[in-house]
Amino acid sequence: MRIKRNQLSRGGRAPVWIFVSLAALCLVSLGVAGLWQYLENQGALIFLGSTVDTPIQEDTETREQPQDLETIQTAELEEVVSVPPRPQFPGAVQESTPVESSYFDDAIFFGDSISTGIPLYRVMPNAQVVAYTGVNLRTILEDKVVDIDEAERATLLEAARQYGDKGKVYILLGGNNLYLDKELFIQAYREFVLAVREQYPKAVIYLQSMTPVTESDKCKEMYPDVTNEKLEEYNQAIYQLSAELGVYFVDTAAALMDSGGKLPDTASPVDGMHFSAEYYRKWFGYLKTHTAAGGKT
Amino acid sequence: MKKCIALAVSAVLLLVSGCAQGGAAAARRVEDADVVAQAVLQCGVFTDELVRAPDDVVGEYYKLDDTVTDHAIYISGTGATAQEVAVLITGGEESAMEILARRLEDLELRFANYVPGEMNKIQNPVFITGDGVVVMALSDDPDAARDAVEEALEG
Repeated sequence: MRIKRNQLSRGGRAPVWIFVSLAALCLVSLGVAGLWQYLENQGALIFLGSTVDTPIQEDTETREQPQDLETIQTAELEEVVSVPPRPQFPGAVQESTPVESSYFDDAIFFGDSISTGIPLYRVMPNAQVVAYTGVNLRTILEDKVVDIDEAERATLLEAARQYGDKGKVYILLGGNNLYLDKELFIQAYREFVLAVREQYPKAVIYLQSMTPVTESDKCKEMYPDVTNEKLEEYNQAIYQLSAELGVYFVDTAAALMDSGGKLPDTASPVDGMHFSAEYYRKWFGYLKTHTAAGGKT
Repeated sequence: MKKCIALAVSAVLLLVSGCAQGGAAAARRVEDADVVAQAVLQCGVFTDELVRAPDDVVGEYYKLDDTVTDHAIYISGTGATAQEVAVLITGGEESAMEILARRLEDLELRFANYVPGEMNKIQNPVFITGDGVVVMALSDDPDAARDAVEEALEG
């Protein structure tokens, strides 16, 4: 029995020592591995050529998720945008009780490069946007620009047909055509609105004032035809057109301009005309508080 | 002898755990299109606010097909420039290149008469293809963008 115990005792001490050593070394190895991972995540380690041969299941927990713009922007849109009405547009849609985002479920927006940001920033994901960078008001009814099919491009209005009938139409156009004589500008604008009305005979139509620009040198260099003075002059013409055609005029520009009547420099550091996500939120906050018949249409 | 075995086992464990950590991180870079795109975007040549095109919107810009298993496409949110980064994880490189070519054609149509200065970006695209990945970057500094893409793919 003694011998056996000794044997057991001797035999018991040795495995314990080995396991302790193993455990210690495992801890060290895990520590080194952790440090390794940390350094690599910091960009301090680079494994050349070790990238694609051994695909590993995506780690959804560590993958950087795209920013949940919808959540953030919906929350921020809840802030009511209260802007004093501008006296030059007395018949513009007045401030009203804020509508829910669902108001835009049956809305479609036509526009140029500025409107392309609406879906990208997910400002109003339930609204349909048909917009094209550089679209020309003079040829908007003929230019087949929208890539709808492998073998086919369509005009903005043709492309919009795939989305069915709509209850509200918002138009923000003209910024690319300020080089035109005002009469030609309005003639082209009128033809587009009439075509829209023909396609959407029951819809409430909103003409939006063109958005302001900064007074930066960059803006003057890139868009010499576009000044805030000229925008206001042509906006006045659009306002009068809305009265002539019996459609609504929404003074979107008012939501974006500072007290000096211009787009703040910080809103558009790239070119002085195209603005960042924050200003899209201001825009749509304004639209939610400026609806025809207080949103009861 | 047992000490030797224990040391050997520990050494193997150390090696295996270390390799597993490094391999996993490196492989994710190519499995995950957005990791590559993020690395490229941080290279400093993109001055516009590039926004990841949401899945329900991306089809308006890129006509993706079934060969593309993952994608990360960053487009100018402001609409001011043609700056863009597209990373396509694909089973068909040729098909992916056709998708990118179609997008370039569309960008030309948008900017040619609007902001002709942007044509420089569109006409000097950076294309890098790797093992199952195709990357396109449009910027004013194609050389820097190319370096960034290559570095991102190398991990």
